[in-house]
Amino acid sequence: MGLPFSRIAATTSLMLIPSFTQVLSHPYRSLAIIFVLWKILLLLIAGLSPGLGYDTSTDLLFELNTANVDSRRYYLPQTVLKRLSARLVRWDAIYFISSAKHGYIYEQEWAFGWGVTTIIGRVAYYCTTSKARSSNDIA
Amino acid sequence: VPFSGIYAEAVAGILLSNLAHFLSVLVLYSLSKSVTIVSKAGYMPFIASTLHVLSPAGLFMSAPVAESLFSLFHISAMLAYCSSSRSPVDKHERHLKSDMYVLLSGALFAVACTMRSNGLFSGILYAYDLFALIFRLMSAPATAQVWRNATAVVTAGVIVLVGFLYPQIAAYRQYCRHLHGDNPTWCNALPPSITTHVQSHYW
Repeated sequence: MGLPFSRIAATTSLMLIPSFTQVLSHPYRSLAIIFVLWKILLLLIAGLSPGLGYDTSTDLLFELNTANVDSRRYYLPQTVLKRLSARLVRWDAIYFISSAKHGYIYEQEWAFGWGVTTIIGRVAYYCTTSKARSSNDIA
Repeated sequence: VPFSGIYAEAVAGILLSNLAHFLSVLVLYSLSKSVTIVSKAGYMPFIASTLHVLSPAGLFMSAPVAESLFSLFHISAMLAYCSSSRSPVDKHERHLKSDMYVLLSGALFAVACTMRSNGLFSGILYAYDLFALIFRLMSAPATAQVWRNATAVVTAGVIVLVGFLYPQIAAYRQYCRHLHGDNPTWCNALPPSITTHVQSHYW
């Protein structure tokens, strides 16, 4: 059968991987694809990393290591977002998130961009019901 | 609604950061295209935007911190500013439309300044424009258009300053409301800025 394997492989990869000219002819779509692929990779690494991390502030914030083990069932998107929250809310993000919820309580919290905590706080406020807002449950 | 407690803020913050990063990549592409000569630029705008996707800030661009949102508003402001000077008319004469772009860029820089105070440096653009206009006024008779340009540039600069000062004023009003004594010492410092105080005191 005529074609050598290397030729077939090259042809197949050419079909799968668009040429640079093709990529450039739809710049916004290409950037969107690159963005999504890159984020999937980064978030997978973050989500699949083992352990709680050596800074326990995150676990305290989300009450992850308290005695009342959460036995409710969650849908997959909820589980994924909860896990990502536990991975991404570290260091400064802890300040941003708690200020978004409670406003600035301690004076040092003013070092964390007022514009950002305000926007996050507003969005979270409008996306939750008043019942959910007042409850202290984990989710 | 699936989230309550502090998770609502965490999820909202993560979604906002990713959305802002994505939009800032698209705006950066548009900006890079607008500042390069189309025939000569080739793939430079695309490479620049791709590098902004792969940003060395990495996961910080997805985490609920200031970087992504600041990037979106700051790059958008630069796009608005560059749109203002691309009017096909003589470089020195600015259309009313271009003055509107100057004001829009000022407003976007101001929003960026409420997020990270180093956005204030962008005000240098308007200071430069103002000096250029003053030099023009010295060499040629003033037209109504030049005065309008100057007004737009000064107003944009003031808007940026307001964005920078607003959080400072909010903090001052909250902590320094006592007329005599009882105020934290930073209230009497110069400038009476809470950011200056907490940066030197806590970090």
